[in-house]
Amino acid sequence: MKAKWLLLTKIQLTEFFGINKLRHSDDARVKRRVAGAAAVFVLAAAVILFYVVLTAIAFARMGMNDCLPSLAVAFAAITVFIFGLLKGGNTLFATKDYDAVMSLPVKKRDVIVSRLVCTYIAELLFCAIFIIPVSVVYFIYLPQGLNAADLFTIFAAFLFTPLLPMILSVAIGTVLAALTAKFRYKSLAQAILAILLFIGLMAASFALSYSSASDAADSAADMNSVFDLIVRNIYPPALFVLYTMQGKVWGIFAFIGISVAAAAVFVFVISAFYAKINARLTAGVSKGKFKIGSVRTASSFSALLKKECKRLFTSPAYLMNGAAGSAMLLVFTILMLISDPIGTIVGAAAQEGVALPSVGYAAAAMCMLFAGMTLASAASLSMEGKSRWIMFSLPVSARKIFMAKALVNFILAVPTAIFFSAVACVQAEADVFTWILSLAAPIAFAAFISVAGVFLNYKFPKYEWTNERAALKNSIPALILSFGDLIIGIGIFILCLFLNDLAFIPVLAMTILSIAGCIALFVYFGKVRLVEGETAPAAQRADMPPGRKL
Amino acid sequence: MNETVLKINHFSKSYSKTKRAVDDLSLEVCAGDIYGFIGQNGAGKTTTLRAVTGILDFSEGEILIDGKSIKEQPVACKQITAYIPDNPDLYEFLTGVQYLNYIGDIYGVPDAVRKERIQKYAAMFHISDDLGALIGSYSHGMKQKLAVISALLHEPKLFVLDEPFVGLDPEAAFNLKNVFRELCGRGAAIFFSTHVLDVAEKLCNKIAIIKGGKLMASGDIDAVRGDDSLEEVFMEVLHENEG
Repeated sequence: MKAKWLLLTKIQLTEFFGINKLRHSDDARVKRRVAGAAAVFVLAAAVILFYVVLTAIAFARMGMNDCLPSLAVAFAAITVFIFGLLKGGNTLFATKDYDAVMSLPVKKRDVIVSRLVCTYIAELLFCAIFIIPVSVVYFIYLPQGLNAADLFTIFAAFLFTPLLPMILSVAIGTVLAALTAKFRYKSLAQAILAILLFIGLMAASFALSYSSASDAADSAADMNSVFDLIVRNIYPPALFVLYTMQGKVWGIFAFIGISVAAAAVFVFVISAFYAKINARLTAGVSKGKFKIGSVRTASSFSALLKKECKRLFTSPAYLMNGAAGSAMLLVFTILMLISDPIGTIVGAAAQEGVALPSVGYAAAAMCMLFAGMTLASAASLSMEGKSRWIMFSLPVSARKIFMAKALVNFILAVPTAIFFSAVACVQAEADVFTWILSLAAPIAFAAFISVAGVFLNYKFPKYEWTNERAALKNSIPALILSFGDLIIGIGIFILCLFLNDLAFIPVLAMTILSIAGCIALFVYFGKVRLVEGETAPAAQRADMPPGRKL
Repeated sequence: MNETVLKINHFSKSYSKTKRAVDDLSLEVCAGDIYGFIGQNGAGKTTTLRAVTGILDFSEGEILIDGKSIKEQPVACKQITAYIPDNPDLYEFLTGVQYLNYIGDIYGVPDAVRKERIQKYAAMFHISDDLGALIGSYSHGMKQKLAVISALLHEPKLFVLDEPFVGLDPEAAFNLKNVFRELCGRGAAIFFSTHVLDVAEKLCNKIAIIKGGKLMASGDIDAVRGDDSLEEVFMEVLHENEG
């Protein structure tokens, strides 16, 4: 008989990666959608791979080949941790299948382990994109070439890299869930705490990075400071991998030991409180007898908007995913206010008689990059989940529903974008035209990302989920937008630096394109008829020909 | 004859190339009708109801609500329709009253009328005290009651309900039947699916029996069952081509 946690994991994985849907769906559209998703993931992985390999080669050529494996491990671990926090740490609690799973003859430990293993597998795939290509570069630049000892170390490090950061982020999520379990608005409290924590961590790492980078005199020193920051300051467990590469064999065992011990302790401790926290999180808090007061009517659009806001603010994972870009931009702006980097650059250039009109526009490009990371709308349709029948049966146009979803995203992105642009313009001593364009560009781009998010989610919805993380994680719309945003933001930033006097051109062009994109999608939304996909109801599937039955 | 509220003309729907979930179904529901739609699991009832409410797309046939096509004028059709699915998955992040206000705003129900109806139906279904709690904390029956109240809020011309009595306690089921009768008396039409033949027999004036996606019998309940009970007719239809 198979271990029960294995059976539970298997069931979770079938939902997680959509493999079962692909195997058993009769609908060609489902297959096309999954194939499209796979293509997007492969493309995204290829882009990451490209940058990772380039960076690894740069490190190797600067004589830092020995540091590569530990650097890759640290970078992958930090990414796993940050994404874990962004997902709201909601791996374990308040899932829709909780009652069904807990009614089975399985131990709580098995349930916890199965949920963690499922997350671990996804994170391991993610780590592979960083660690495998870096390892290949490492062996190419290693004088003695491929050798069994290093290969074993790297493989072992790869297998255990996601464990510790994953446990840390889930543990933080658990603590937040436990702390807020008694609150009436527990989800909102959880989301606020998670965002504050995220902003704090971002600020701390930026501060560390600022202090490490300020001493760097040349590129080699720059790379050393990056290594010091990532491995020594932010993720010291990766030092064990470095020690192993330097001949201290105990290092890898210490790395594995710490990772496994953290997971074991977490599972042991959390097993004792699992049911209690879940019960608190799923219990409704009633204020006693309800008396209906005055009723205030609103327009259908404002009703949709209010509902969307409530949806966002009652889900920590959704809010964290959606507001990450705004949170980062806020941290940046505060740090800019403290350290005045733009003013320093402009002042130094002015002393040497050089004018830098491009600085304001480059800042606008950065602002667009971060404003474009607000991706709540990219999951807004998927988040309807099993309640989507309400959306489909309401007497409102698809455009109205879509625009309400896009507007929430826009509202989330714009205040910090305006704040950042205003601070950047003041520090760059910008003229009126730069001010106008610096404010208009991120606003237009945020509007475009907001409507594009809904559009992509309409094309690639993911309604069937038991844990909302499934709708947020591995989301094709978010992936497409993240990469599009990255390419556009960095592309315009670089163009601005090169063009100097003509730096306004790419920013203006992107603003016009964003507005045109918004108008085009607005017109398209008017032609959409919001109806359910072609998936047959379960009862009907029972009638399907032999061999296709579930 | 009363005006036709729902007209389904030669409606067909396929989920796969090999089999039709619903095959060439036609029927009419008039104002004042309580129309029961019965059939086995997987017969095509839910598919038909979802197509009627504009949730499910279809390519063959025509569905008209108050003379308007659900495909061409979906918003106008939905404005006078209310739908309750068999498993009311509502927005669990809203409280009961927030959900009712949301639906009220979408359908443009004036505040005074809305308050009066919420109070009336919430009292009738005994959930007044719980309207301030999050829907996530409701039992299945409470969610079902809330879905029923939300459907009654804008007094639609056409009610489409999928197994409306499942999950309701006996008193709530009794009250819902009375509400059905009251609304039909005022000119609304009710089209609902059920497995409970007893309910269909006592409540409906018209009935349709669907088997394997095909309409096997439809019309006035007295004409459909003749001298037999509805259960006997249903079993006969079910096993018509067997043996």
